[in-house]
Amino acid sequence: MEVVIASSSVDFGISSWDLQTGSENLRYKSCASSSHGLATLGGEFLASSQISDSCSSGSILYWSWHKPQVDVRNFPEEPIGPIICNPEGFYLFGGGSSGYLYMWEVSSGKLMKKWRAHYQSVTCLAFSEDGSFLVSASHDGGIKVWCLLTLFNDSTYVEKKHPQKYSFSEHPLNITDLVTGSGLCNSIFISSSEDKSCKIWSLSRGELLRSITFPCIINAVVIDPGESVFYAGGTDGNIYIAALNADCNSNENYRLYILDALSGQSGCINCLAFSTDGVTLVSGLEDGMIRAWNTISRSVVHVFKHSKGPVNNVLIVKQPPTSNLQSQDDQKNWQILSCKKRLKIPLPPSLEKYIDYEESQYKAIRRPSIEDLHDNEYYSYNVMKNQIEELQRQSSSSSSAMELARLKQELKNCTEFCGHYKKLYEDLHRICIEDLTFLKE
Amino acid sequence: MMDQRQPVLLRMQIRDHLPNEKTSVNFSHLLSAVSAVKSHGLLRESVSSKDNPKLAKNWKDAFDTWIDHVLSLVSSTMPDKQLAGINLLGITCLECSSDRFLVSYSGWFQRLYEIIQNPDYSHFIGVALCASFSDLLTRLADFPKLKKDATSLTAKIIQSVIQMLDNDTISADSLRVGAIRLLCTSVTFFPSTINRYYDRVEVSIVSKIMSGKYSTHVSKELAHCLALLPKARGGVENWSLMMQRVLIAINTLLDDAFDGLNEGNKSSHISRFLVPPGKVPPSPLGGHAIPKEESFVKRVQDLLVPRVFALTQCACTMLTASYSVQVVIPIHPLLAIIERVLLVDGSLPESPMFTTSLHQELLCSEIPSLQLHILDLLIAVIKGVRSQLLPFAARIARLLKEYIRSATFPHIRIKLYAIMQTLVISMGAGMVEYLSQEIVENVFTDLSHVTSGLNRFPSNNDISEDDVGFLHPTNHKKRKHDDGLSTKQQVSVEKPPALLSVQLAAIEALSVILTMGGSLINSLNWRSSVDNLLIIVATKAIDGEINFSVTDKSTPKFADLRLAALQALKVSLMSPGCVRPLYLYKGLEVFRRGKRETGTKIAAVCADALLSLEVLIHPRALQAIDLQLQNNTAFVRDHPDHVFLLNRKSAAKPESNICNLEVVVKADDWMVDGDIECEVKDDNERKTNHRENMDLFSVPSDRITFQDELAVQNGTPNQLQKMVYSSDVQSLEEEMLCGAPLNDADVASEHTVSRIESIAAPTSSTMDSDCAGDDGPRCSALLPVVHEDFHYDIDSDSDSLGFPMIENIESESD
Repeated sequence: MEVVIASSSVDFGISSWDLQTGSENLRYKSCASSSHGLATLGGEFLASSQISDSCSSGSILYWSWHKPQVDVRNFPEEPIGPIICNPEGFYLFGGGSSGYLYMWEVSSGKLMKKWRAHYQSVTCLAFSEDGSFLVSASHDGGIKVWCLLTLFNDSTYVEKKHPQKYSFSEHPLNITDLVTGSGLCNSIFISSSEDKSCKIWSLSRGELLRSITFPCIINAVVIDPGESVFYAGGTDGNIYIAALNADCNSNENYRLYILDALSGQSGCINCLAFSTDGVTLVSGLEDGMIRAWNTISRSVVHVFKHSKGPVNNVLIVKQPPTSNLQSQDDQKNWQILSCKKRLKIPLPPSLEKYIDYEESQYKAIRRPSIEDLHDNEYYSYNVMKNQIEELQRQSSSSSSAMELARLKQELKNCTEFCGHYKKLYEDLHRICIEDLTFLKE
Repeated sequence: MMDQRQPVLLRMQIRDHLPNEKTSVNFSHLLSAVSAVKSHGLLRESVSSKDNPKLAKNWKDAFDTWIDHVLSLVSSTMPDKQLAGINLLGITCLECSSDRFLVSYSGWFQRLYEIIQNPDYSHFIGVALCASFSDLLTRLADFPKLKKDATSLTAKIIQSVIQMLDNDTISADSLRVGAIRLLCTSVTFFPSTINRYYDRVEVSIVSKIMSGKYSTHVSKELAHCLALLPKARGGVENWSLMMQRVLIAINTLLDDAFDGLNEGNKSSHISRFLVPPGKVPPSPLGGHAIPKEESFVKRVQDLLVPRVFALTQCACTMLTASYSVQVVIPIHPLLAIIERVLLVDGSLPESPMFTTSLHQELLCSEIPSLQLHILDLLIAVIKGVRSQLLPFAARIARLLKEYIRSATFPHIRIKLYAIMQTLVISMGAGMVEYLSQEIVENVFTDLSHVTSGLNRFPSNNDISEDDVGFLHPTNHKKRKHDDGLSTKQQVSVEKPPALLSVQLAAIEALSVILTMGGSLINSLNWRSSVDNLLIIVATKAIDGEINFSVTDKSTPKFADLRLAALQALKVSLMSPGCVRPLYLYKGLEVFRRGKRETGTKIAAVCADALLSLEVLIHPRALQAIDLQLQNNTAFVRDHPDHVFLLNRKSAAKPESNICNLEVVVKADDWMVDGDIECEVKDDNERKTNHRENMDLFSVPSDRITFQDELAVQNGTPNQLQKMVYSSDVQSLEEEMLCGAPLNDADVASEHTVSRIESIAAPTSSTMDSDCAGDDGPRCSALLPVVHEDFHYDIDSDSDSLGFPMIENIESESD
């Protein structure tokens, strides 16, 4: 089940809707998220970094899917803006307001790495498709690409003064959004900035591929899953459609590479998300509304109301199926789901503030899985086949032992028969003799 | 009538194929009865009495006859009939319907239980009993409501099973394996039943492992059972405890074997990881310390490897099999032990004692098999921790790099290649940067006989004469590789070629690094030589010209090597790079030839490769939305998957900023035009031009557009700009039309040949013209071949507006 989740910079919680039906699900309480500060921890928990007034401490909150209350409260060293979790949910990355990047191990809450990435606050984070590169962007317009492996390879870390793989400073102003495309290491990523431009970069080659200037500031970018176009949500309320692989003879109304726009929204667009169905685009607006668009018919499918405050994060996520267990009557399914329920993933501990974690203490966890339930192994047939083969070949000692036992049993049976007939014979004999003697007499 | 036949068939099987009072067991009949039962589902009673009461009744009666017959066989005094009965009951357990099973399982269990209580059953009966019990319990586990009942039933037999396991008079392995499997089934589904006998089972298994006298098969099963044992008690601490004790046991064995060797303080280092200072060490595995009564020679020669093998197998299962709760993997001690074994070099300290040098020789002969088993553990670690390997990945990569230099044994090399592949796939492009150099170097060594003409890393501008010779086919169809290469091959006979399986693993590893990191900028230093290697290997594979050591008895066949070579070639052509695939035409030719091997897997793989490569030849932009036909939304809504071809006229509006992408898409559109060929014939003087145009068509479209646009954005005085802003649409269209059909290899075959020649010519700048087309001047700095004198003639007034640069290059190189 795909759900839309959204949060706002004002405390109206996190709201969630079923994307298919448009019905509202649980609303998770007390969340005033920072921009790009909403994520799921491997699909199991919701996490959000909070806007804080004081510049000395920040907070990141966790929610379980089925409970509106906050489950875990974390207090990192400084206010965290964007957060992102690796796809399996093992590591949480956060960008600090001072330009530091933090990496936590979710299962233990340990802070594993903290390093200076930028000189101003980090605004966006994104992962490459294969999970090996992290892209970070900053308020000063800088973009850096980090090879995560290198962070843990101390020898190279020391050698290189700048451990990042690439550093780009083509954007002069604050970066507002960052998305990566697909294609393993050959993917592109797109950055949008307050300089009214979106730039497309090659991750494998570290080059700027294209720069597109828009009529207004772009707050959010999202790539169409087929990568023919990307959508850019502007402060003027339009969602511009810009060409990637698409034919780009522009509409006369727009500038180079801008193909069209989804218009008709009142407020400034703060965030965008694309569904895996390849059709539905969801936009979060300044006026607290969320619109789901059908990008083919260009029509609005659903309008959700989050709150009065500006929506600054929308995500489309797959909710784990554990929430609706009741309607399962199929036996096997019931079993799997009940196992899944039993194998519940424990609540992660809260995140630590400082690194007190040496490399020798790094741990790895293995979560329970339900894979093995599907292949119950039955032996009878194979055992029988092997035994019959062995018996027919009459090669092994055990097969001859079997044969011996059989023959013994047969001998026993035959002896019994023999005794039986002997007795019959004797009886008959006796009767005959008795008869004869009777006749004689 | 058709659906009435199961009862009839079942009765027929009972009558004709099962033994009765008069006949003895005919095993082939029995087997055919079982396969009929399985394939026709004769015991499933899969019809409800509502739908077809007659059939249901009939089937029920037939089943009753079957089960009566089987049960009478089970209680037969003839051992062969009893054996058949037990086996058939086991199969009935998993073939019958749920309702039937629920009604009858306890009765069936009781019948089997009567036999197991009387311990003088024969070995065959014992094996069959274990299998049938195991199947009955596995089926029972499908019904969670019966768990209580099932647990009490299981508890009844556990003691007999342990006795069976401990019975040393049994010589055959199969009964032992059967007993172990039954234990595994019990502990998996009804863990509490083992709890009472936990220590006894553990002692029994560990003593068997340590005795080292069982076959690999049995040791594996023993290790598997030991790994499942923590489930009996459950909880995270029991898993961790078992893991800790297994690792301590392995480390103790290593301490004993490596005693006196020069390996620093690794042992105490690992011990500190395993038992943190201040903690009480757990009781040793199996309850008591490993017996040391045997002589050192025996311990090292006969016992070390089987013991370590079984214990590592146990650890592997624990790492990869599912467990009921989340567990913490002690990854540091694991890696430390792996490092200890892999890096042991058998060297002695400065002043060795006499005895240790003898031991050293003994040990050195055992080290490779020890390392082979430890590599299994490494694979299990990588599998078990998945993406959490991140903090350790660089360390593992360093270890592998160091180890592969000294690894010469084929099986170890195969495993190393496999590990590197797994690492690269799981850790992505970052790992390619660490490992690619090492993998490529080793692959070149292992495939050295195939590439005897090649340098290990042909430096970028000295492609050797041989390669050029190789790349200059005299005729496309009748290509022979006799020029240059064969003589080299004869020279390099001294070193025997690597085993087939090693070559196979090497090629697969290469294909994985191309998949995951072929487009990385850092890959440029090896990319061209790897591509070159793969085309040579694939061509030789398709010709059957690859040599490998004949001593190889391992499973992979030459056909597997050919498949791997072809698949790797496909990856090499598909993997995005800075340049367009240099050997595209040769590759296509290889695949076309392979496709003719009708009926083989090669043909299937080649067809698949041709399909994949088709995208390179006819690049398409996947348009989800048709922007031209906005008004026609109803159609779009009805056919969301439809990819619209572009309207030719509207795409070439003069005022619009035409980019190459449009041309590419249009070219795709035009391919279908039937009248193109004659136009080409009419227009001979344009041929050179067309050929080059089509080369650009083959470049993935996104690169063209991005790069060109980049040039425009940067204000580079580039031909592209000129092309974009001064395009005369009419002439452009004409050009494109003429250029298009050359894409078709048949029409273009003679151009293709000359094209390949020009690619291969070492001094020709055309080799880079492709990349120049998509990347402008900056690209040449990134490329292997740098042309100092290469420049763009900005003012050249070419009328080929589509791709003016190419023509300039051509004229220059002329």
